[in-house]
Amino acid sequence: MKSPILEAENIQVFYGAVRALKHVSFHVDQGRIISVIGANGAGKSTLLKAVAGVVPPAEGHIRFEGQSIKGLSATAIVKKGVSLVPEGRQLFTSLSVVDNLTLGAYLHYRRKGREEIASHLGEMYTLFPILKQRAAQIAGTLSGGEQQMVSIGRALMSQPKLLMLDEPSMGLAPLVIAEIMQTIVRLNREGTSVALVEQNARAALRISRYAYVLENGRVVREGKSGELLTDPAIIGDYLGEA
Amino acid sequence: MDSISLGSQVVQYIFTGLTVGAIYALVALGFNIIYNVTEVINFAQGEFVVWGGLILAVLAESLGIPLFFSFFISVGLVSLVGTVIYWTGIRPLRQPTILTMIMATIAISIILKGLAMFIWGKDPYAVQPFVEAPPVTLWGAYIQAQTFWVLGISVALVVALTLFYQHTLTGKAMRACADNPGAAGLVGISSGRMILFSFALSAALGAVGGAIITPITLMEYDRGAMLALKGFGAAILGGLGNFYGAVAAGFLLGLLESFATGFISSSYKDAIALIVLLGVLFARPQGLMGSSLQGDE
Repeated sequence: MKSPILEAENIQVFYGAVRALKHVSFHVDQGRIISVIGANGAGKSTLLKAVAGVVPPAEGHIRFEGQSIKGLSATAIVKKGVSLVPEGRQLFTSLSVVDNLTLGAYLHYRRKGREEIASHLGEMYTLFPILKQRAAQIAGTLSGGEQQMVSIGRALMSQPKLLMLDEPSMGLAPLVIAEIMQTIVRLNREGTSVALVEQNARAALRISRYAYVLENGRVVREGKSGELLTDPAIIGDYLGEA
Repeated sequence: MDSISLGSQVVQYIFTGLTVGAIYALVALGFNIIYNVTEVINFAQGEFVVWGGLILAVLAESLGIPLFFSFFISVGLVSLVGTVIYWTGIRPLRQPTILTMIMATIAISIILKGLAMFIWGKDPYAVQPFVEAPPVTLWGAYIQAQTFWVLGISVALVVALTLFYQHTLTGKAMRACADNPGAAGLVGISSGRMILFSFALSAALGAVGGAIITPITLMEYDRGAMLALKGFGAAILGGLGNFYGAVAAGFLLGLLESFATGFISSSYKDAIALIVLLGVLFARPQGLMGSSLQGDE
């Protein structure tokens, strides 16, 4: 049994009077990929934002490596080793690809040498060779798939122990989605724990070990991804015809 | 003495215009630095120029500190004023909106003006030119040596600022924060720190403007509002948020003013900036070179 790197219990998040998350609990085991699937508006993005410190949870506990991170600022949470690849990439669109990536390591500049950061940058180019060719290009001019790579690369530059991805497949062609998913698997094999939020349930379930199904801000199902993939109810609601 | 030829007059007006224009450009840049990170128009921008000039006058003339050191101390102190403004006037705002922050900067400018009157009184202060040199004669026009300092330092500042934004980590972080504050937070760039820094930087820029122009125009406590207005006109004319636009528009506004003073009447001098400001807002609100607002939804 692996110990959890992230444990979230009983999280409640309100947007004004609207309760976006209702007593949601989930955990990510060390070195594993978990996925959260559900329809648009089910609260998936809110869940990741609550963990990342972007929206404050009104109730509940969030522990990372055994320590509470609830109520910390987004910056403090990145420092602890949790990095979010936000929905819609959220690049610095007027800056170059290399600047986007380097700024991902912003918090490390004081502690680490430029050489070390340059070597991380090299790793990103190994992971996404196309980005090396595009290094000087303005990020806003890249294709959707390339932008997603920059967004993932930027998050990785902070050397996270837990990488959270919010809808990385959104708006991408099937081949590009496959490439992104393969990259996530590769990163996971190299030791990064992953929490993946997806509307593309099939792609998410295929690469994750454990999954949560969110509906109207509640976890309505959870279980091993392999079992959910063959569950008739899940197929009917989320996977459609195979 | 013969009357000055038209050609000499034109040269004279050009240099006068460029000198004043350089200060407008620096004020406009100051507006843009803060605007890009916060979308706030800091109406205290003109006060930085006044304080830069007045502090320099005290240090160099009253205390007799060498001009070179006085210059940097003055810029440093005004930069500190900029950070204090952020800490005391902007950061404590509860539920800050763009509008409340702009209102706060207007209040701050009034306070700074009052303080300046309290400290320095109502008389204008003089500062010796940076280097004692006779005026240069150019096509019959007399150009003070200080004019070249004003132009040289302004151009050097614009180059330095460009390099800062393009090549330093902090400069890039400030651009990132202006581009996408949410994403900047996700990579650990604190927007509060960047805003603080933008206040310090734009205050320093204003102070430089005050320090270099005071040997030519003297400085008194109540110049800030008009300088802010002219600089704001230049920032709008150049396209709010656009750095090169601000510089070009600053010089253009200075030239327009100078020629209007020379060929029409000096009474209309201050009206020029307002006419330009209104004209741009009516006809081309994105400014001559396009605003950073473009592309935002």
